[in-house]
Formats: sequence, structure tokens, C-alpha cells
Amino acid sequence: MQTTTEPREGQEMQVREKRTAAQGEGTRPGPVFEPAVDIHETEREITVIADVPGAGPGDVEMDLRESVLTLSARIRPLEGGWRPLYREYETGGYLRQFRIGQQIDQAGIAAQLRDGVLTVTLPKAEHALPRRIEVKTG
Amino acid sequence: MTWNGFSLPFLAADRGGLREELQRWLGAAGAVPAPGVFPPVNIYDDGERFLVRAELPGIDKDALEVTARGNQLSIRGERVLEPADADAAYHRREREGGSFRRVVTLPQRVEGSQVSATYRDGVLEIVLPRTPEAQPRRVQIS
Repeated sequence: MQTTTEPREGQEMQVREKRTAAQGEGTRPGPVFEPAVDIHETEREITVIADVPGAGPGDVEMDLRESVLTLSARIRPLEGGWRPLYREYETGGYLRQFRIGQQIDQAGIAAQLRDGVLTVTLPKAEHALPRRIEVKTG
Repeated sequence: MTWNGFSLPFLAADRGGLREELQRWLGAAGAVPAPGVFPPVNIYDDGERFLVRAELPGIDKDALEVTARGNQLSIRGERVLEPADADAAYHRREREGGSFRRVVTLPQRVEGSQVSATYRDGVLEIVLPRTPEAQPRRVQIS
């Protein structure tokens, strides 16, 4: 049923169905989902922000190889004698890959995980910037 | 809609009107938004307590409000996304911010004063002990 409501300040959050990752790793049991991401770019760096709720500092893995950035994370199983009673969402690991169309300074990559949000900063490589080549005569 | 063979369109219409009226009245009365479906929750049980879990990454803990009364649990909060630098160009924008209010009805009454909540790694966990009356009891057979 559609009801009309008074306009409110701000946006109300909606439920989004989790997307299963196309390429599971296979080595870990359980479902793997694609985390929602924001990606933005400035002149100097590319920033990838991924929602990975349930993943702690030791649970995240990152890899940049042949211009493909892979983010993966696992979540720890619920401890204690809890029996599931009612379920509205599935839990599982995370996996997502991106092709990075820029030369990245590998040594300068920084990542931060806070409250289930992973922020990866990829600085662009100095040598990727256009350089002037001196032409010698002789 | 029929009742004893009589059609009661006026009642059907009135019901709809009443609902709208109520909605309007509630809307005008309150800053309290109608409870929605976000965040999705999973509920667990260990015999004495319920555990309600919700995935809420990147939320300021102080902006979360959890209240329990009777058999109802209410979760309210807001997710504020940090904006990118003004000169940044977005390639993807899938994450969402906004406010939410969810009311969860539990199968039994809980001890409101004994409810505890933790927020870790973007997951909200609320533990709600059943009231003593709601605890399962073994019945003596004479």
C-alpha cells in the first residue's frame, strides 16, 4: 500500500539486497557478497570506500596486480550458544575487483578499516605523469 | 466488501478515509517518523536472551538510539557519509546515507533495564534478556 507522508529532512535509508560476488574464492565456506562501494578520483589519488560490516582489522585482504585491485574480507562466525530465530539478511565474506586504469604508486597505497568501512587510498605514480623528454643533438 | 449479502461500499471508503486521516494526524503530530524496514535484522535466541543483529557500517555510535519496552525493540539512527574533496570526480556511488527507524517485535517480553548493546566492526548487537515470567520453566509432574 502506498501512503503519502510528509516530506522529511534528509533521506530515509532503504533496504538493499546483497549481491552475490560473481567470482567466489572457493577456499572459504559460505556465501560471498559484493560490498557497496564509492570510488572517487582526484589529480593525485584514487579512493575506494567499501562497506564490509562484520570484518575486523585482521579479516581484510587487498591485492593490486596487473591493474586489478582485489578487495576481500571474511567475517567471523557468531560465537556462543545462539540459535537462529529469524533472519532478514545473509552474512558472508566480501569480494570485489576493480580495474584501475592508472599507474599506481604501490608503496604509497594506504588502507584504513573503521566501523566496517574500508577506505583504500591509491596514489597515482609519479612516473605516470607526463614527463618532458630531452632530445639530444649530436 | 459484502456483509450478509449487503454491499457496504461506504464502510470500505470510510476505512480508507480514516486511515488517511490518521496518517495525516500522525504526520502533523510528530517528528517521529513511521517505522521503516531498515536496517534488516537477524534474531537469535539462547533460551534466556534474544540477540538482535543489524549491519550498520560507518555509523557514529552516539547517533544510534536503542530502546526496548515490553516486547518491542526500537533502533533509530542516521548514517552520514563523508563527502569527497570538492575537486574529486566520482566513478561509483553505491553507498547510501540517511536516517532510519526500525521497530522489531520480539516473540516475548524482555527486561528493558537489562538490555545491552554493542557496536563493533559496523555491526550493532543488542542482547535482550527475557522477563522472568517469559523464561522457560520446567513443570513438575506429580
